Amino acid sequence: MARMKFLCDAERCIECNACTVACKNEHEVPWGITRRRVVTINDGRPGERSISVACMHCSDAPCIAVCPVDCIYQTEDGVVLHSKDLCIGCGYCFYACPFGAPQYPQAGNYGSRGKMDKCTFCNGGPEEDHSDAEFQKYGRNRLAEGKLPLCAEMCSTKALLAGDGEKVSDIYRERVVARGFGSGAWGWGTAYQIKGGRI
Amino acid sequence: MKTGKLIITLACLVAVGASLGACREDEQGRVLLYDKGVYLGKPDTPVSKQARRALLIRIQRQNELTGPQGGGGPGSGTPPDVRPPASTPLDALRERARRQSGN
Repeated sequence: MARMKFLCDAERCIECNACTVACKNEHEVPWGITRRRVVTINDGRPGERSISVACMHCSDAPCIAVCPVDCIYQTEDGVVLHSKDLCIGCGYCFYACPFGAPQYPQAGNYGSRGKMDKCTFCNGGPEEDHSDAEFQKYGRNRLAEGKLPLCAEMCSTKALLAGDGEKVSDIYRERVVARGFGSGAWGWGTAYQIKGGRI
Repeated sequence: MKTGKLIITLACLVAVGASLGACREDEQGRVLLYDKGVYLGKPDTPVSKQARRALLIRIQRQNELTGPQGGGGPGSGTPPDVRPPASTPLDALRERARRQSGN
């Protein structure tokens, strides 16, 4: 397997927000945090497009580069995960992320942000797979069960694709050829373009 | 006077030594010394080969028609199965709907 990637087909997304709800429900994400959200441009006007946005699990993730305590890491499948035990809630990753993925529960005193929370590609965290600690901190680990992220599996129009980057891009390419046009794989270049010799 | 100052100085030194001695990683239970650019948290468990195979199948079938399983699960390629109305527990549904109203 090459590496895990997300792709949102803006021509198919109907802004139903099922991905957002599925994610919140599957991982029991606390109030105030939305790991995935749907963004619409030109709402109600010609050229309206919606895209589902979450952590894109970038190839050369800027969050990893800026984290002062190195709590963010990449798995061998290219999934960007983090350790809430190490996170100090500084917020640097939030400023570095081009997709606004890192979220904070804002539960601490004196304006502290609390531990960072973000999409895990349904791959849990560094805790033992399927343990209570993993579920409490990061949510369910579907990847370890051989299942794809629920947001993509739930998508009724199959706008949101997840999985091996090569397969996902093949699916998108077939669609573009079949319909004769494409509005571009949004965020794909930002997240997965070659930087420093890495894809 | 001199003895008093000496005792205070020694007491301060002991206090500083004791407080610094408590700054060990094993006592704190967290990472104190960072290695720039290196993740020092708990190691991640890689996805098993079995799960990886299942994932590959799911990824490839992601673009197929949705089967009776619903969602993006591996579809059978056949049109979605529609449950015949006869098998729907209508009475139970009506009862639930009635309770829902709170009357």
